[in-house]
Amino acid sequence: MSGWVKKQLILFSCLLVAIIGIIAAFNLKADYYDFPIIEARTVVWILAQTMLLFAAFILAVPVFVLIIEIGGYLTKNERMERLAKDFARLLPISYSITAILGGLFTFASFLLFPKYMKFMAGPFKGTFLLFIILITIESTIVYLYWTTWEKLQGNKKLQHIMLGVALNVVGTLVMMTANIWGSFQLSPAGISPDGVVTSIKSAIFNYTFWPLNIHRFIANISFGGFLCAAYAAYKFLSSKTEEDKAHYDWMGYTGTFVGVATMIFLPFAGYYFGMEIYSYNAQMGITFMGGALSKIWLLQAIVIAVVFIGTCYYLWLGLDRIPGGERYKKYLPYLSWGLVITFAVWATPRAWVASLEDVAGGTHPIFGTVGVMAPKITAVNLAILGVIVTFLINRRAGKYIPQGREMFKYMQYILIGLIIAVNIIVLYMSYHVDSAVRIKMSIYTFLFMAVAIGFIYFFDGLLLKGAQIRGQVQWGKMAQRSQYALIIVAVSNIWAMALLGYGRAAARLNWHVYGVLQDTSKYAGLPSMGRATVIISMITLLFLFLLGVVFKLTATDKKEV
Amino acid sequence: MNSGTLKLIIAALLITGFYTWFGNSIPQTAWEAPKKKTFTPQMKPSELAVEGKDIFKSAGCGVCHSVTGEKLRGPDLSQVSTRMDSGVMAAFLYSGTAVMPPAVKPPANLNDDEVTALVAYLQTLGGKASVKIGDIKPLK
Ligand code: HEC
Repeated sequence: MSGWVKKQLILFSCLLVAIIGIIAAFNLKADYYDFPIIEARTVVWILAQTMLLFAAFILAVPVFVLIIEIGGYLTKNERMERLAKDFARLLPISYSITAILGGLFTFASFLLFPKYMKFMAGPFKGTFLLFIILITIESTIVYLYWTTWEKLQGNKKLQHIMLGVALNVVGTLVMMTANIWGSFQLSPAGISPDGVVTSIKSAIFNYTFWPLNIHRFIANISFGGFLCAAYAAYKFLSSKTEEDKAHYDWMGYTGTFVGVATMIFLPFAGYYFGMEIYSYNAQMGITFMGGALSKIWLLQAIVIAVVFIGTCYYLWLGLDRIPGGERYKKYLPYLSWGLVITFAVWATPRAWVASLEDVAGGTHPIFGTVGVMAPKITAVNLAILGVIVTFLINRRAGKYIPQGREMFKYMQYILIGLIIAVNIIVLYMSYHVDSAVRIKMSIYTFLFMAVAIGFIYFFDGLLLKGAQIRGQVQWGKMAQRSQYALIIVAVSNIWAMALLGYGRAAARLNWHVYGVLQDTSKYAGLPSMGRATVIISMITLLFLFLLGVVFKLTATDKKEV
Repeated sequence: MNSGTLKLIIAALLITGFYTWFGNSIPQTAWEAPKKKTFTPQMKPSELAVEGKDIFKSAGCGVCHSVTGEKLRGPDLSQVSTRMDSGVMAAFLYSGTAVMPPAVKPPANLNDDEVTALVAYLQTLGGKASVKIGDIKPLK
């Protein structure tokens, strides 16, 4: 009980700080205040993004833990149970850090940008209150979830799992509440011509509310998986015994699997987001994709390429620990070149324009139409296919394919061929339609791909059903460099999230609330991409540092338990 | 600090460093919020057209329209004044179309004077500017 009070104390003191900031802001006269040395914008930027990363983490970990916990429960797998618990351990402290960041962020943004925050506080008072209630419930469940882990074992395990489900439900609601504000700023709705919110319902369910929910939810799980893998890599690199190495190797693989399996759905969520932005305001969509912000996509392509190629590299090295894996190594160079080419297409900027003012034409002076969106979508779809094939190889490597199952293999080839064909046809058609239609088309292509991939896996199941294995997977027999790949993939993921966080804010250009409340501060413009990347990197390192603190603190916890 | 931690830190620094380097190696421009200009009824149409040209760039019209004969998302405007008079131009700018956002709404968010300057500029494309401040009125 005293522990519960103590944990809630941190939360309540953070809420207090936030509320003091809000009240103080309502007594301020000026519209904006600056912060010495590091500018006001940078302060709020760093606090907001670091907080969002932690928020993503505490949303992802419970999903991840729950999946593994259920998996362990159903298959009676001790190792999974151990992994789930190892991660649940991180939750209480991570919540506290998120609360501290959230309190500071609220405090700072209200005091530095009072005009803007007061505007938001007006119509959204109710949602602020809802948010406070939800996070209090959430942090209570976290506390219960963690402290009852040992008590609710055996036939009580189901109760514990229900607690985990409740935690996830409340966690998702918390995220959705916060998304109301973020999506409203981007695509405000329910507003009268003179800028007053007249329908809170339309304001909440604005154009980008659901896209943001879906995009963030998927991204967060993927994020959790990759962070788990990086943590495992870190432990692997510091492991002394073979047994530890085996455990952490397995953990790294599991985390990567969760990360990639969910990441595959992200482009889909991204198109949906893009589509809603286009239907909200075509010019914003164009600014976002091809104007002042086109460099964000260039960088994003590079970062995601690192994530994809790093993951594949890791999986390819992993073939070494699967008896029979060497049979497939000869295909890998083709796959890697395929990936490199697809990302080269993706990274070709839509237009090498320095800013919106320079826009004359829509295409790259050298690469021409390769730089426009359609080939990029095709490229990313094919890259996804490359990752799928890598996973298939990994599944197949350690097994003898039973006689007479060739048919399923051919079915898979046909499906892979179909995916490629559909992508190329859609690519061809894309040059003849408007971007709003094009984005819709990419969604259908992706839906088709999702179904086709589902079938590929279905046939894979039939193909390998009851297949004899060539030998146990040699967990722990993994080259050290594979672990660096995992770390780099995770850091890149953090970086990508911070980059896109910036992108979403930058899309509003000089508006706090797009088209409704103009930013008249001296920070109304956008920094150059170079400056932005410096801050994004700082945020990434700060987040890693704080994550290190969490791991450090929970490591001492472990000895007491 | 154990060796794992050190390796982790080095890897993290290298990769964030790489992205930062890359971000700084591409052409750099900061985006400035468009500044509001002041207009007077005394300004000659040709003076307005000069301002209008700036507005055309900063308001993002160039995203969809070229003035050099190229077809982008919207029609090329290099000869636009041979096709329509100032009233029709203003109508386009005030009400927009299914594809084109009205210039008086965000993101362009122009006021009546700016719309007038823009019309003056459009008139120079294939013709001569003739509108003055006060000539162009919002649609009813
Ligand atoms: C999102 C793309 C887009 C933007 C941004 C845009 N337009 Fe348009 N504009 C169009 C399209 C498309 C048409 C053709 C009418 C249609 O199909 O809706 C058009 C038509 C026009 C016309 C009539 C041309 C003709 O020959 O029929 C004028 C004049 C014009 N726009 C001026 C502007 C100005 C000035 C701006 C900047 C404030 C601007 N447009 C911004 C897409 C755009």
